[in-house]
Amino acid sequence: MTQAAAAQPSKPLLEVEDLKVYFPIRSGVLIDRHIGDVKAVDGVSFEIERGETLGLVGESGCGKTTVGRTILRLYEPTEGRIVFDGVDVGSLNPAGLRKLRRRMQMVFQDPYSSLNPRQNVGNIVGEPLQIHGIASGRDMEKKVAELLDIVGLPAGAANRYPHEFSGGQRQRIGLARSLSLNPDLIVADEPVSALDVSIQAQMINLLEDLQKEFDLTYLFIAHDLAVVRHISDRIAVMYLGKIVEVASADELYTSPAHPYTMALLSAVPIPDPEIELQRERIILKGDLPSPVDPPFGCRFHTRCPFRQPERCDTEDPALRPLPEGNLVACHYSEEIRSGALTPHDPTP
Amino acid sequence: MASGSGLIGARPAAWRFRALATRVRRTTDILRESFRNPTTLAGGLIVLVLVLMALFAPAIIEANSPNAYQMPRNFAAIDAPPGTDGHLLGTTPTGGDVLYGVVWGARNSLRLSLIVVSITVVIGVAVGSLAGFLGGRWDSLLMRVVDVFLSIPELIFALAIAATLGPAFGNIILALAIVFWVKYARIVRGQIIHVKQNDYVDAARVIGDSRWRIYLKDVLPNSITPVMVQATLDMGHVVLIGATLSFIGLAEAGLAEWGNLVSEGQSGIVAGRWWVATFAGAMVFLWALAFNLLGDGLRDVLDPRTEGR
Repeated sequence: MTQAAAAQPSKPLLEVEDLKVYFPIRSGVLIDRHIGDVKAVDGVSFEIERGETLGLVGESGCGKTTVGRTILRLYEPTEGRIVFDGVDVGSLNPAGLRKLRRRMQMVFQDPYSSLNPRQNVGNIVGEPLQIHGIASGRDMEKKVAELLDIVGLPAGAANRYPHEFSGGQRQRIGLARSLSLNPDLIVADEPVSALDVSIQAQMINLLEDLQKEFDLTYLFIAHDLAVVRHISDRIAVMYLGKIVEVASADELYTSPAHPYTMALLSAVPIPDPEIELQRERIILKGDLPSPVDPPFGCRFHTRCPFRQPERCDTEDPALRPLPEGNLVACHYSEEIRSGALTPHDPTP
Repeated sequence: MASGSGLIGARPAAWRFRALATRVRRTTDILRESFRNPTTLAGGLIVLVLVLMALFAPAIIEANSPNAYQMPRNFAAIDAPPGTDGHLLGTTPTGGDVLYGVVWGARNSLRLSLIVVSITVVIGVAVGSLAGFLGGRWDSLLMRVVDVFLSIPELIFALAIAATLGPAFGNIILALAIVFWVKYARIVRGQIIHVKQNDYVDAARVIGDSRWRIYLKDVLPNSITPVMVQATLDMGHVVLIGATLSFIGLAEAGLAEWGNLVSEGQSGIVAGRWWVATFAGAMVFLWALAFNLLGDGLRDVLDPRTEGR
């Protein structure tokens, strides 16, 4: 018992093990025929420690949003396990899930579609309190005012409707709603990508302040690498339904180990014209392959500038640790880093 | 309109008052904006006059006894022209008073359209909600039923049902209710499938809301506006079809109903007795026109595609 209690703090808050989420493609007029799957997430594993921020990046369609939504069981996992603080999320019945959702919340990308236009802000933010029987009436009014204050909105906002607010303010309302249940984990699905750049910084700072104040753990999904670097402790890079690299934020930016990460980073402009001119950029050719029929072997081989014959096309690289502590899913990371392999046109 | 308030716990009184005030203000805003368009205003005014006429029919002309919906007959004045003493708009070939038919016909029309529209809206919204909100097999099943209904022209379908049930005004109401609900089912289903994709529905799931509450508070209120537009248009349409059915004799003889009057007067038109069919026909025309103008005006203001201009 004592041992278990002692081991408790080191246990990650969230563990995702070999998660697969497939969306079936059906066809047929009378009888539904199952003709394939969109393999949105195809074997993803990661852990998030208490109080940590894990950034999840990748281009559109790589499955990062699906991962976030599946953790909250907005989508049902096809395979794999999601363990939140020792509880298997996938096996919960609706009542258990409801209880657990007090501890896991979400901030959505689009501040316009995430608030019901027919409810006033007070009801939007106070709703979770009512549903879980935490507060109602005057109590609720007081708690809502507190929550609005925490996210930097005036208490008078409670009486107003979403359309009276700007995008940044709406995102704050959404944040207040997710904070109302005092959760442990917040899945933030591109919470700033719909906002003006000037507002993005405010929102990021707010998220950081709240993390300290309320001891929050974030899964921060984004495609903007600069934003992710600023807020994340560790970063996972996704490509076509799989994680290709996990590293601490600094490590990932200073010495990326996967060719895809390198390509992503080289797409970020550097605000120094001399370096910008001198540096060697890796520009990816072609489009993201279809997740219905992903490439054989390494999924990135169709676009990889370091692709080697045989092995890359036939053997799916597992996520393996490098000496520096990164996890990477590439057969040739060491060779690429040491300069033994040089980039070439991916089509042989 | 359905809202989530009152289902769980109590909302602060101040918010409830504000919410009510906002709803009232929004409704008056919509009406004011609609009535900026002169044709909508004209439609609204005609609707107002016709509805008032229907409501105050007993004050305008004393109700016939024992059945107020039957025209009083004066066998001493058959086919009397307009202006005849005691019969301002003349009489029918059976001695029925045309003015009585016109005024009490408005009451019959209001009765018909209100009953039919409320029944069809309730059934249509229920079926459309089940199909759209639950999706999957429910959707396939219910929408195939809707397709079957839609495949039969509505007038023919209503005619067949009313004729089978026998000539009575109540049967016309029933027939129209059976035919008209499918449109609402389709509209509501489409709207719900669209609204369901909004993040606020997922947000409600994440905060632990039940499906029923999500439907009542997030999905239905945001899906209902096209239904209100369609209901307004149908208030006119139902009377038009209802008059058609009673014109071909599917209502009780002598009923104070416009279609019935047109039917009684049509044979006399060639002989110069124009008044029986003309006044009643004009009423049907006015009624249908007025609700169409009003419905179109509301659509311009409420349609989600034109919202937020």
